[in-house]
Amino acid sequence: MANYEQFSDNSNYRDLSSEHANEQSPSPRTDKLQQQVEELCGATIRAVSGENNFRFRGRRPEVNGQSSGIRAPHLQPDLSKDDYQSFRGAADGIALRLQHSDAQLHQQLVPASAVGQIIFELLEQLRVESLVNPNHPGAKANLKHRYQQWCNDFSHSNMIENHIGLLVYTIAQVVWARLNRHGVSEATEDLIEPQRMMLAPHIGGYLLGLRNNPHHQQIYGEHALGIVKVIDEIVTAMIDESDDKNNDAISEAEAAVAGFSLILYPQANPDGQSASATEPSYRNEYNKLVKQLANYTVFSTSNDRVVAAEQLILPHQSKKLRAQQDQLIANQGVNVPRLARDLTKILAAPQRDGWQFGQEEGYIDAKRLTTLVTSPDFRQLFKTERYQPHNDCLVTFLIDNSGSMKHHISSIAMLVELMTKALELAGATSEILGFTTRAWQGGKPLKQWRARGSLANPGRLAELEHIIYKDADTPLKRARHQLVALLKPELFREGIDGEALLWAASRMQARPEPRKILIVLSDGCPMETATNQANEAGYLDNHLRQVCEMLEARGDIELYALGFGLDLSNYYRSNLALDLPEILENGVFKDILQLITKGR
Amino acid sequence: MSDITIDKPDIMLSVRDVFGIDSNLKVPAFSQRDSHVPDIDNAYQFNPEVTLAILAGFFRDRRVMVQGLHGTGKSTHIEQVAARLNWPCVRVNLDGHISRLDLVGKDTIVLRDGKQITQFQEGIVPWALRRPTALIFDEIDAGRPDVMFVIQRILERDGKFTLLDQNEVIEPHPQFRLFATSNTVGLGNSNGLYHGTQMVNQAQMDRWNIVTTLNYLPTNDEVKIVMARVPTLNDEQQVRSMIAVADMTRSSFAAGDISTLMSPRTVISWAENNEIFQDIAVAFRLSFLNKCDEAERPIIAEFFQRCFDQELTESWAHQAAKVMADGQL
Repeated sequence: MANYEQFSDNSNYRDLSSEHANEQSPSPRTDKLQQQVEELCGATIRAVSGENNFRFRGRRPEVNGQSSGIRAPHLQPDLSKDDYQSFRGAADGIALRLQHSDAQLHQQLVPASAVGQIIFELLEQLRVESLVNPNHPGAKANLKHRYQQWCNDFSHSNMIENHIGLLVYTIAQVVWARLNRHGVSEATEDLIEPQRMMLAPHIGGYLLGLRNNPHHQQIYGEHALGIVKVIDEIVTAMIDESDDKNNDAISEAEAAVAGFSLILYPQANPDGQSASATEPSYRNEYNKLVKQLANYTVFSTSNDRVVAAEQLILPHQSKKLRAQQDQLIANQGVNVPRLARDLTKILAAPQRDGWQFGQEEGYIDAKRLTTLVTSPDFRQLFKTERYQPHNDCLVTFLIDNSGSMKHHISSIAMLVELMTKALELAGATSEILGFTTRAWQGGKPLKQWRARGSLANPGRLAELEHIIYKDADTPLKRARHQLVALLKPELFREGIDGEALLWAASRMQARPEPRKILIVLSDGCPMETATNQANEAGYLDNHLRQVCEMLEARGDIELYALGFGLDLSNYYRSNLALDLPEILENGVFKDILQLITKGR
Repeated sequence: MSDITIDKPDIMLSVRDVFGIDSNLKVPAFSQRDSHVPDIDNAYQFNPEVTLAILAGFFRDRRVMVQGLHGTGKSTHIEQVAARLNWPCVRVNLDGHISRLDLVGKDTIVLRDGKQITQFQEGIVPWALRRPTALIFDEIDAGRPDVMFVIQRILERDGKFTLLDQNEVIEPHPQFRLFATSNTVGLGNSNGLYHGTQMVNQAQMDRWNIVTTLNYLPTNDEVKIVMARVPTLNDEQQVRSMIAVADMTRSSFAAGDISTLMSPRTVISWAENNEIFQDIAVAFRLSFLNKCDEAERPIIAEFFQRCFDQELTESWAHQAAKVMADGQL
């Protein structure tokens, strides 16, 4: 598209954040795919386990906003190499785990050694998988498929060269075969035979215990711990033996753990287990978040500003960009009146509006009394109050104006403008806001901080720029020329999402509309180089996450996020990965409307 | 409308024998059937708690409301209890257009001796009040609250009914009984399932002596019902899988993932359609899937796959084969 070329001329703005975003997500397509798969799998998990608060966050299973603690290696299939049935199998595994395993008990029993933890986790997962409902033959097939797929991957990786890795694998195979009363495949049998022979005398009794007690987590767990103990002894013996040689076994053990850990959830927090243990009420959760939010500090707000978009663009520029944008919009295949009708359906709430005449009961309609006299049989002389759907609703679009958004901005500007138009037709109010920074890499606050001796943990260092493209009281017609300031590439710098969200939310709270919807359009995580370097890692990320959780817990504003090329589920509960085509189709809007319907 | 020959219950029935409930209770019943007594459905499975509540309504003259999700057989439950007691029964389906005139009665013009005269024609409420009848208001939450005040007084025991138009006070027949069913608990359409339901006036809600809930049954009971209702069905495993799909739609609905759910009625019609089409997937599509929002069909197809190990055409797996690793390998 012509606009893209125009933007890429300003190549001095090639920035960090776009690289950052790219490295996290291979392509927007995969993200979209991942989201579709997670949606279907998540729905199934909720349906099977009855755990309504389950969801995927950044590809990790979560219950009640906390890590579910499920870490079994075969439960995280990879979109790039695994098939859909593997995802189904993993989902069924997670559902069974939520249904049949007590996370707290599991946590109490978990052994200390790293290898032991892997085995224990695996065995518990295999236990719950063997408890699959006999009325769910499909789930059973999925689980088997996923498990075998994982075995297949394992036996083709270099992990089989690793003694300890192979030992763990052997245990998994033997237990799986016992629990499900299946044989293992011939290839696997050959592979694990020596280990099995060696282990058999030591673990035979425990295996029987496992097989006989799949319904008793505690007893099963004790037998599993017996196996863990045997393995731990073997590992220690191997390390001792090779002590004089160059510590081969230790590194092997580490490699084995790493080999499995790679497929463990990278940041699964072993303490974050207690999803069901201490279920905080929403109110407590909210208060906790507010407290956490108070820890976020700002070095200096003196250079921040809120600016109306018309101050950012010269009249002749705006005229030119406006013409360009009009041309583009004219070429789109979007049916705005229909979109408006659909929006009405979603946003409307009934409101009293006038009278309905010709009713058989209700208030007497004086105009029809004469009719009663002339034809006494005529009963339709009443009127009733009429209720019409009304959109008393505020929709705020908050657009991330960080550098990487330049690539998408032309489509986003169109998307937002068309949505605004439709919202106006539907009778709802809308606001368009943007956020970026006024300078690159810290600007003035950074210099001040350095001048004062670069104290540790200064908080946010940048100069914020919050832009109002269209406020709620200005109709789109009057804001048309300001809106195109969005297309000015000079504007795009870095972005601090958390504070921008708070700003937008506080603006919305001041409005009278009873229903408030905030839609964030972003393509990445918050990025501000100076702040990131001067504070602990993930400072801005955490803030954004807390702000989102706080807004979601508070519930007066509905929060939705549209991600361009990045999975935003890390931050926002209701999010949609959008893959903007060059020509906007009705389908894109349909997806957005669906997001809003679902999020209610 | 035929008149009822006997005026009061003349026999006692054992609850254990008739309803299969573990209780020594004996309830009064009529020995003769009347044209208003519903037919007995031998396959009907009584829910003990709800049955006892309804029986209390009959023999202790309590006003009983049965609340529950659609398709759980609320009205049928009352009817089947009445059928076994030979208690005459009249069902009135309420909707937003039932007016006071329909319930109480109105002046109509009739021809008598070749002359037009106006004559008061009683509505269903005074008619039923004078007879040993169980009056069932179906979907009472669909009735407009202002109209429903008509029954306010008869909701009280010994509550007399004043016919204003006739200057007459009706004393209810001692064997007159009043029941109601509703989908909501009178708090309106809170979950988006039941459009057209109204908020029930709480003063009226308060007058129902017993409110009992009939929600979905335990799986084994549901299996029995389906097998009994569709006698040609002999594959119990298949029925269990069907009910497993239904259960998943119910919990998925509770989690907010889908907006429609399968009632026992849907499962029965699925089983019946399976007899016609001899294809479980086609029958499923025709009985339930086509009632669902298009966007939700892939989720339901997932449930179907879990329970039957079979893909529906709506399944996302077909698309996955094109875009995911399956197809590329």
